[in-house]
Amino acid sequence: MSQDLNQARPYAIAIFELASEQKSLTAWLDTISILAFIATNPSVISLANNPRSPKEKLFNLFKNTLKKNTESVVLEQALRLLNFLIIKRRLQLLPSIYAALDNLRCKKENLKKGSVISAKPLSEKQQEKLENVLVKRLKAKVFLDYAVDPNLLGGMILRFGNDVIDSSLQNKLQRLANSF
Amino acid sequence: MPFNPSEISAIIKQQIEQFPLPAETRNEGTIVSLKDGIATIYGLSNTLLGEMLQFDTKTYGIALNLERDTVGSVILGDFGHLSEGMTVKSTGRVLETPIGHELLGRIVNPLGTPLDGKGLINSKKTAPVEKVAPGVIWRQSVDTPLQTGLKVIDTIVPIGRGQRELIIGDRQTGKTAIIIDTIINQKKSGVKCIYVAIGQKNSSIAALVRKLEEHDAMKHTIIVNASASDSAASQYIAPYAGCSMGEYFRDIGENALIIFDDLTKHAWAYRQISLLLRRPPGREAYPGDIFYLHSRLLERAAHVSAEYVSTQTEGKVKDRTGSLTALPIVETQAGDITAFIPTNIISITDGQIFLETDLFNSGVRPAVNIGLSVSRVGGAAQTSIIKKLSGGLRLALAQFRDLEAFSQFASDLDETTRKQLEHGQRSLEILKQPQYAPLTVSEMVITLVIIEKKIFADLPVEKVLEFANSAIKFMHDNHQEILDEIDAKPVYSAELVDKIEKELVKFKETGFVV
Repeated sequence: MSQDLNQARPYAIAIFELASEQKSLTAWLDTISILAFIATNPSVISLANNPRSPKEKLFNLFKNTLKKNTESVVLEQALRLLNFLIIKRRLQLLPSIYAALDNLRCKKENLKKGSVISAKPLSEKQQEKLENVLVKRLKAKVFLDYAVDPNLLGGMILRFGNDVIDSSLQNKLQRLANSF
Repeated sequence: MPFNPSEISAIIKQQIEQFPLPAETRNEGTIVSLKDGIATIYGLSNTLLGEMLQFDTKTYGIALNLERDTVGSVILGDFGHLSEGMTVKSTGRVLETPIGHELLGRIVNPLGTPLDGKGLINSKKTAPVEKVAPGVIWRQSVDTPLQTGLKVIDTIVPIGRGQRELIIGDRQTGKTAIIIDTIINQKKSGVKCIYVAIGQKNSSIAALVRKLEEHDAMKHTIIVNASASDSAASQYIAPYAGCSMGEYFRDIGENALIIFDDLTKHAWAYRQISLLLRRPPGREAYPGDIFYLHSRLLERAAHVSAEYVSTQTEGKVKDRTGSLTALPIVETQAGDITAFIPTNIISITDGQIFLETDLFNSGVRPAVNIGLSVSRVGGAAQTSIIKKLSGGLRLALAQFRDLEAFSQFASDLDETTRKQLEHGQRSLEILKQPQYAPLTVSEMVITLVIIEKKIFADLPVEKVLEFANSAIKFMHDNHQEILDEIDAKPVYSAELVDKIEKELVKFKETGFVV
């Protein structure tokens, strides 16, 4: 995973610079996400890893899906990137390229992506309140992913990248238990 | 003491009520690979170098490699229950170990957990395992001797408080024996001893502890044990942890002695960790920072000034200097002191005591090779009486070494050379000493007077040691006041030496039967 990210970073930077020049970042992100989705399919992985399978077959598989779903601005360059990745046998990097590209976009747009896990589903009002607090605190746009985990018993866990704010009852009880 | 259940409930209730429970903020990561006690963790972007990482409630690790997306960590203790994908928390603290007087007399692991079954250690203070040594302005030159009680060491390669003196030699040459005698000899000196065992057999440690207990020397000693069965990480931090325990005494104006037994195994443990962390191997597969590994450790041994002690104790202790003396041990292979680790440590320390298998087997014990052993700063710390009296001995032994090759032609040699040879032989003989019998300063002075005044010149070589021992006993029985005077004030005076000489000559002529 970490090694993939190291290898993927230069590709992501190249795509990001290209997309910024063309003002087609969203289109590129969509394209890479489609490519990453296909590349993580088990049968595609086995095809990509099989040295006997012709590279054209693999290329065409991606190409057909891309043609249907991609805006024409980026199609030609996306196909070139794809060809390049197939020749270099680096298709497995696509999910990491997507992650790195998304990171670059978030940095540019001053957007922070995080997740909230709560014991009970949060009402829209609560979600709005939480987001408002976070926007003020982080001085950035905030995008939150909501999930529910009844095991927390109460409270919630807020996660931005590696940073975690844990106010769940489960964690508090655990800390109390450890203190004895 | 009988307890009322409702009382216990009340106590628990109170504890629960008072337990502070703010939301926990933490930095997290995920284990992406786990092998041989090394975990690679994705995430943990705010980790400090050397920070403690929490794997689960009881398992901790140290962050040693900080990379762009990952952290390389070495796990302390057992890691069988961990798996890839588990969450790791950063703690924001660097590795710490308990310190204080409470540790004296105990056997602990590098994290201060007792191993001797004598219950919990109630030490109130902790200190980081890795600390930076005191700077230049806080240091003083070495001026007080650290008496080992061994004739050959205290006279020829004297050790001062705050010095770093390497003890080097092959296996089975009596390295640890010197250490045990030195620890036993600190019973009355007030020097606290910390013995750090790295990668040794637990049975050897048990035997050592038994010996120290027999001689009532555990009271002023802490044993830090990272045995051969402990993880490499544990062996790697053991000397640093022991050093922190010793620095506590140094910083409150007391004197401490730390022994690292041995640094070869410490280097092996660090090599293992480094290779598993994929750091590039250098000479003998040791990593590039192997010199720094030991230099930063030994630099922490120091004789610090009274001002330093005063600042460390916030003015509570004044006008007292503190010291931490280090005696690292290095084991050589087939007497090769030019290998990588021995040369490194020789260059770091202020001298070395070189022990030789041949000498050991021929009955010279302690098997110190006088030619290769040296103490660079200890001479300044010797008491004046010993310094004055041992000057001649050093010269005599140097001359003896030069002439030794001719000793088989004894009959053809001229009178002067023959006398020098005989004096050398007798001097070497008298420096032999059994284990667990360290000498006091006054007893050593008597031995030195015998050598210096050549009182033993007409005795057969094999009787010399016996004579010295009986002479010491004779002085104890008949002239204890002279010995007490020397122990109280070990200053050289010609009259005193003449007085001792006269008594010894009298004893040789009347009391000693050859």
